Amino acid sequence: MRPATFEYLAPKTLEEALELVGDDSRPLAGGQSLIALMNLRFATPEALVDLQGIPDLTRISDDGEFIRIGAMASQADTETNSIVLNSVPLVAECIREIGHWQIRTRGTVGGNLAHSDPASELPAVMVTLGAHYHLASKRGERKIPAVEFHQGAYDTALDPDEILTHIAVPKQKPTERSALNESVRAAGAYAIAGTTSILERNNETCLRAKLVLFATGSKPYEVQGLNSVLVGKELNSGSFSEASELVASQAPHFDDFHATAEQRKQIFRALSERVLQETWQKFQVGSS
Amino acid sequence: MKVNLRTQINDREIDLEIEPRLLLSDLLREHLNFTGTHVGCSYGVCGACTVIIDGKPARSCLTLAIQANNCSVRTIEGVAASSTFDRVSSAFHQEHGLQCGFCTPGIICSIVALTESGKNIAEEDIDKVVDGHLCRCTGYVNIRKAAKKAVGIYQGDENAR
Ligand SMILES: Cc1cc2nc3c(=O)[nH]c(=O)nc-3n(C[C@H](O)[C@H](O)[C@H](O)COP(=O)(O)OP(=O)(O)OC[C@H]3O[C@@H](n4cnc5c(N)ncnc54)[C@H](O)[C@@H]3O)c2cc1C
Ligand code: FES
Ligand code: FES
Repeated sequence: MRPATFEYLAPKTLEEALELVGDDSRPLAGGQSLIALMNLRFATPEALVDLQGIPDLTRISDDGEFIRIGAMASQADTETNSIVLNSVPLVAECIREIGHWQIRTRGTVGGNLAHSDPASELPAVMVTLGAHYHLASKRGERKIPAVEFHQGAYDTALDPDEILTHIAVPKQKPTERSALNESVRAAGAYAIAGTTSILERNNETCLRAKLVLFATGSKPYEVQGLNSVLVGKELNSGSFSEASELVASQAPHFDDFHATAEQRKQIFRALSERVLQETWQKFQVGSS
Repeated sequence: MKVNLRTQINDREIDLEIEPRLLLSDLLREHLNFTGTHVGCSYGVCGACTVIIDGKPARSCLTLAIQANNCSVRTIEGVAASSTFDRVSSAFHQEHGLQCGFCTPGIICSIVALTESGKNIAEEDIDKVVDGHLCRCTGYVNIRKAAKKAVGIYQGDENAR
């Protein structure tokens, strides 16, 4: 198992990199998905444009309203970054569930999102938090919401000549909390089913609720009609259980080698109730 | 087209013309004879090929050799030459933390990187690190004991002996 031959390009700036990517000349980030695919010869690019020599792309900063995470920030650096831990704690919580430390030391935030694995946690978290992705090409720059970026399994809005440069994640407001919950066969494995949620409250009343499912079909799925079940209500186990019925009715029901349709429905029901409860509990302990 | 690789591997300065598709695991094993780095799966799952790149544990089967340009790489051979290795190897010996030894170099590289990270290590950290390695024979009970002993958070069960 060895990659087929390719040309290796190591630009020092984003501008140089943008001259080099396109068609079958692909960006290389941490390689934790791409090299595996190349070892298996599922991917045989003509050229790899290694982005690791562009220091600008690894920066994590606080832009006031948003936390800006460079696409090349490693997953391991991001999960321990104090800005991330304080202002977008769900991102750190989520990354700790990705693979193993030995993968996250090289795997990047941008590489994970650009790979857009349907079982991946991070795209769902970005959809939940309403993040925007910044893309650049020789033609210019554009900004696209996470929910529009992830178009299907391993399919994104990226054009072949584009590079994801950074992700802008809205900072958590004092009135918001969020959580993630997944069902996995073994620690570090991809999820069989997963949910992420964010709740906003005013005193004991719910102002806004969002729940996103992942490892279900081809891309993160936002549960519809959740606001009418939760908003304006006092949140308690009764309302969470009602919400979880709504989730179970919308969760895709298919059989595969992980679970039958019925098991899947039950997993999603249980996970969503739990994730809402966990989100709510974070208000009680005053933690994030 | 070949590319030039300059890097430090264990205590050797490397300056080589290589094919870009050469994996770090193959550079280590086939070109430099550091065969303590094992290759099990070649797609990141088993952990046998784990080495330390710039202080962090990483899969050498999912790293192109050229990605280690200007880096410092340590393999089990480099780790075994360090002064702290005695404690690690005796912990694995005393706790029976290996059987065939195929997975062991990778596990030890991860444990050493954890120790050197300066983190205050808890039992949970050991579990998270061992998570990243598959062992087909010893079993994780002994590996966890050995790893905990190696980092000094477990003294061993005297009654068991
Ligand atoms: C054993 C193992 C377990 C794993 N478990 C999980 C898991 O539980 N959850 C999970 O989410 N992931 C998991 N992963 C995948 C991991 O998160 C990868 O790190 C990630 O999917 C890819 O990131 P990378 O930086 O390595 O990107 P690469 O592999 O370098 O690139 C991935 C793809 O994105 C493209 N790309 C990369 N960066 C950019 C950019 N800036 N702009 C445009 N395109 C770009 C590349 O061309 C390629 O197509 C696992 C991987 C392994 C090996
Ligand atoms: S050989 Fe690299 S992880 Fe299995
Ligand atoms: S000791 Fe044999 S695989 Fe772990």
